[in-house]
Amino acid sequence: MKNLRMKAARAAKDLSQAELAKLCDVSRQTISAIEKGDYNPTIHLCIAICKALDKTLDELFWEE
Amino acid sequence: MSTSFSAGLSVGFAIVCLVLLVWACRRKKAGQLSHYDERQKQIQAKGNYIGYMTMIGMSVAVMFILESGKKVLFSPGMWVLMSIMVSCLTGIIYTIVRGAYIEYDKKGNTQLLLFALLGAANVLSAVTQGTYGHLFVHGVITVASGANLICGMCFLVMFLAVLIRKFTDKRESEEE
Repeated sequence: MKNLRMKAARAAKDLSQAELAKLCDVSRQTISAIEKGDYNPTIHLCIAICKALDKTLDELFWEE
Repeated sequence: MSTSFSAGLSVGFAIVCLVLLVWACRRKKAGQLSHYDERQKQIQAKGNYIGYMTMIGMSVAVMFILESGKKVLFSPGMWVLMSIMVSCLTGIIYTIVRGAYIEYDKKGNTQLLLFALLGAANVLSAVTQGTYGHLFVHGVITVASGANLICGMCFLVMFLAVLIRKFTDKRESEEE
C-alpha cells in the first residue's frame, strides 16, 4: 500500500527523496520503495524518517 | 598449463588479494566498511540465494551435458568455470537491478570504470587469442584459452547493468 502521508510530509518540508535519504542514512531507492509501498521498513528506519520529517510514528505509519 | 602461466596467475591473484586487504583495512579504520542500508542488505541476501540456486541448476545441467558424452564446444573445466561465473553474475545482476549493488552514498562511477576496463581488457585478450588460433585446443575452448572470454563478457554485462541502473535512477529522480 502506498504511503502517501510520508510523501506529503516530505513535500511539506520541501525535501526531495535524495535529501530525505541522506538525512536517514539510506539510499534514495529505499525512500522511493517505502513511499510506493514496495518495502516495509524496520522500526529503526521508521523512527529516523519520523525525526527527519518532524512527525510521529502514528502520523506516518499507523494504518487506520 | 605452462609454468609461466601458473606463476603469472599466482602472482596476479596474490597482488589482487593484497590490494583488497589494504583497501578493506583502510575502510575499516575509517569506520566505513559497509555503507548499505537495510533494504539493500535484504536484497543482497536474496541475490546470494538466487546465485546459489542458479549454481545448483547449472551444476545439474553441466552434469547432464558432460554425461551425454557428446563433443561439446567447451572442455569440462570450462563448463564448470562458466557455471560458477554465470551463477555469480545472476546474483550480482539481481542486486544491481534492485539498486543494492552500489553503496547508498556512492555514485557507482568507479564500478563503471572498473567493469569497462576489465571487460575491454579481457575481451581484447580473448580476441587476440582467437586471431592467433589459440582459442580452440583440440576443437574445444579450455579454461586457459577461454577464461578471458567468459570473464570479459561477465564484466561487460555488469557494466551494462550498472549503466542501465544509473539511467533508471536518474529518470526516477526527475519524475518523483
